[in-house]
Amino acid sequence: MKTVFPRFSDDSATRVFLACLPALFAASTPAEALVCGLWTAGALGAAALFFILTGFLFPVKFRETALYLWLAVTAQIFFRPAGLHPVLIVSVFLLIPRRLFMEGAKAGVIRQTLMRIVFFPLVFVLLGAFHEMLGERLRVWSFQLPAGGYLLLAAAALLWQNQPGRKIKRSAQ
Amino acid sequence: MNAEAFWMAAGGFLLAFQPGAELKTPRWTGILRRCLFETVELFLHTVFLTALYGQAARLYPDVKIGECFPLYYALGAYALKILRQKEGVFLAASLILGLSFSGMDLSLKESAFRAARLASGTAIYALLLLCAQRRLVFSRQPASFEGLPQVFLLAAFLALALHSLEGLFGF
Repeated sequence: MKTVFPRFSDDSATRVFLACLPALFAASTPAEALVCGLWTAGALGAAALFFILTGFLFPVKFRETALYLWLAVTAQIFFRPAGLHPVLIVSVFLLIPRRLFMEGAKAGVIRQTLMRIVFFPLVFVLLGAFHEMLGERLRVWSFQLPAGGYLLLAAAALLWQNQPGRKIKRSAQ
Repeated sequence: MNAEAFWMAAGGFLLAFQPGAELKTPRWTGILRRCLFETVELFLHTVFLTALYGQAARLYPDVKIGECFPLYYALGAYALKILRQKEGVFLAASLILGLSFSGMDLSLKESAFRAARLASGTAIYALLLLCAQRRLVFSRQPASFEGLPQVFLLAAFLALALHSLEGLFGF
């Protein structure tokens, strides 16, 4: 039996849940969460596209620095003119595939990036909506604290972990 | 509870969880030393960069330097990361704390106090979470994703515990 997203690895899911963390604290309404999620996904797509197409032009030692310069400029764009919180750049940083500059891994990187672009705003908007509903509308006090964000993330991670068809990996000794 | 608690919780969680290191849990002996050094470094990162920014704003009052704070802080944090040869996770925590100053108009003294509060709160949260992870969740190095829901739950309970202690560190 296959999982709901058979091509979406556990590593990607971990990254998506972690990337939600700073962004969840920066957005307070579902509409804001949607805007933040779309901007973050767009920034991830733009960074991945740029470095997949032009990564080979940079000297190997300079690639990480070039990526970081790109992210710094993106943080500035988030702040002005987009008017969002620049901490969203940490989410982009966490979502960027680790093998972005690896030779011969382009297909894998593109697939991973596309999955994260789709999955991140989806998860983030859902979490943002629940956060707002429980914290602001129903006034559950624990959801007005940082603890609320973690409780939601724990629930989402638990659901992911127990989805039908998921194979459980053995822990490394 | 104030907004600073959110940034402390996010930064502390990333420092404790170490996503790049596949959930490695350090030895007990390293935990205290790491926490101490991280507090000092986070504090110095934030104060150094915000002080430079404040000085620049004072020297050029006509130019809206505050508008470029994220670019400036991100570049400064990366330069310090290269100089100190720190990991990506430390950079992420530094960015979370530093970028929370965006749009604020604080004096150097206020910035230093705020940075000290943020850095110490983040390091203590990270330390407590590391200890709890080590004691309650991971007795061995887990595979990717295993243990993530438990770590999120621990983080939530820790935040609630700090809140119940008269809102320690603004929680």
